[in-house]
Amino acid sequence: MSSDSLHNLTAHEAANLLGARQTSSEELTRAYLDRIQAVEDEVKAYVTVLDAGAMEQARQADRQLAAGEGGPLTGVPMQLKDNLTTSGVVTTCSSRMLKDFVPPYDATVVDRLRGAGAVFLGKGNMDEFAMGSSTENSAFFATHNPWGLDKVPGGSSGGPAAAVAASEATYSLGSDTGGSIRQPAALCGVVGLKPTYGLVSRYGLIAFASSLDQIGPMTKDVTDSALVLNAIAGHDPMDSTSAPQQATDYTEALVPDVKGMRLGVPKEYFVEGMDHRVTAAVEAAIASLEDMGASVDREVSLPTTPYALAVYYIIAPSEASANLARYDGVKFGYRAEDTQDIWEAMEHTRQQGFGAEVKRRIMLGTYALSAGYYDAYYLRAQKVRTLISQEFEQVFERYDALLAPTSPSVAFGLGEKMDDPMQMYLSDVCTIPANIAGIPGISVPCGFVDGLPVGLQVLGPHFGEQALFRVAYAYEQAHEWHSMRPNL
Amino acid sequence: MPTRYLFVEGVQALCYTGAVCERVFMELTRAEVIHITALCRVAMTDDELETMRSQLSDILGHFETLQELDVEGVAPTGHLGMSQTVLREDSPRPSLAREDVLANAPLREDNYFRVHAVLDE
Repeated sequence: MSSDSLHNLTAHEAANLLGARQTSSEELTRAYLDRIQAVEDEVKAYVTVLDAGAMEQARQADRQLAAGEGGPLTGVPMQLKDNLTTSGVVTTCSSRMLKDFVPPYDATVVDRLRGAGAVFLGKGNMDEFAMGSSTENSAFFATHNPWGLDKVPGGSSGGPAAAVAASEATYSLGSDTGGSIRQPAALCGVVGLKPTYGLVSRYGLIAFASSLDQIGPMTKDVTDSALVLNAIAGHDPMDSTSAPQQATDYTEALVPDVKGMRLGVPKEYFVEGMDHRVTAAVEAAIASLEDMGASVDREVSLPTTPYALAVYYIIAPSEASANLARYDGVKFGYRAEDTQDIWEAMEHTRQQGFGAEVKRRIMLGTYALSAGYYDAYYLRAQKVRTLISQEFEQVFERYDALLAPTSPSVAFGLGEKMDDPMQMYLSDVCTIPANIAGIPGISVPCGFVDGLPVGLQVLGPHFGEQALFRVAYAYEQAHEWHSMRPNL
Repeated sequence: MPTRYLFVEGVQALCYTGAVCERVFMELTRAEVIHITALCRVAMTDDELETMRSQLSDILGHFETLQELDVEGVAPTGHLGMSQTVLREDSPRPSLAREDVLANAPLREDNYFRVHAVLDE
């Protein structure tokens, strides 16, 4: 295989070539670094590229492979979203606040991938502190959608989604608090999985909203998604919210057969104002799964769905306002200069260190938690959260998985929604309910509108990742969407 | 308790916090926004305050839909999947090296984080 096409490989294809000694990790890594060099000016998916470090890891992986000690991800070059701490490597969260922050430890997922022999190409751009739906809130630069360079890649994991779509990495890890893996995956035409809350350790994921955050794979296909989940899932004593689940081989769920599966289509996800061409693409995907033998019920109702957005934009900012209180200019991160006292130092540090969206969320959360408003906002939102979770539980007694759009539109124009935060928030309307209930969701490419990708979302019950993989894999294998690459 | 202005079908009405109002557009006052900045210790310019006032009012207006739902007797969900507190053995283990921790300090003096005086003389 010529080195100029090596970067188009999926992780499992790359691993097969490495295993058969048809390429080396060094050659593969060099091909990716060349690819980054060639397209990064247009895409801008990376905050940091680790040329030397990646080549060193590649040589080490080649030694492991030569000794027959490699696993399924050994020597495969990948990217990490820049809110995952990497020991000795700057981790910015795309914020001025952490522009020079060099963490003294690895996130658990980073540690596990290191152990699996992964090659780290660099750190992916994102909305500052993972707050946003377009990656335009990065304090450094916006990322461009590889399918349309004047369009957003979605967010907050826009760097990872664009990097995978542009073949600047075989795969990446993102984080999803309200759709930040699935929505950019849909908008960039890649596969994005938000695992069940607690399946993947959050240790070393820079906190945004602790009861909603979850790390997951962003990949070129469903097989890679299962392989990467195998590597990162599992209980971690460093995260007391990580679930004591038994290890599972998710690749066993990769069966191209949905016969007999009970699938439901919740009508509330086809929201008012949705792009009808996106609706048509998603409905065609649903019909296709029905043709393949699944039983599909199109009359499923989750009546509290319309309230999920309000619940989310109260709970997530509330948790963020507490989590981000640590940025006070004392122990790490940015510190304002020329301040007179401790309060001014704190206030100016945050004024200068945080961007507009982060401040908006801190303010919103502080308000929702403040005396006199706590009951009306935060407590009420938590109660509605219970109702939303119960509704999912009841529905999953009758269905193995639910099918819905991932996003109500395809990628929108850069700058289009930046002046209207509420419009931006509405782009998360189909992904937020899964985070509220802690259930898993996967977005898989299901077509194009005006040359821009559309995503089909599959939702499952807690720890129902196998059902998601089975539906997503069967659908993917029956179509060609996953093998399409943008012209760059 | 602070008062808030509510706009009901174009008619300005005065409402007290905590009252259940449907389909209202809520306007935060400038004083309320200043109060929030004081609580979360974020400095803002006058322009930032006004932008924040208008945007937060818009966002909070959308959230009023939550008041429609009957949540009587519903238990709040604070965290998912945690039925009990997780405890571990209190066994000694190495923590981060002092130099590694202090390496990120914006202001440092010897082995200390340097800050402004906290207590008055």
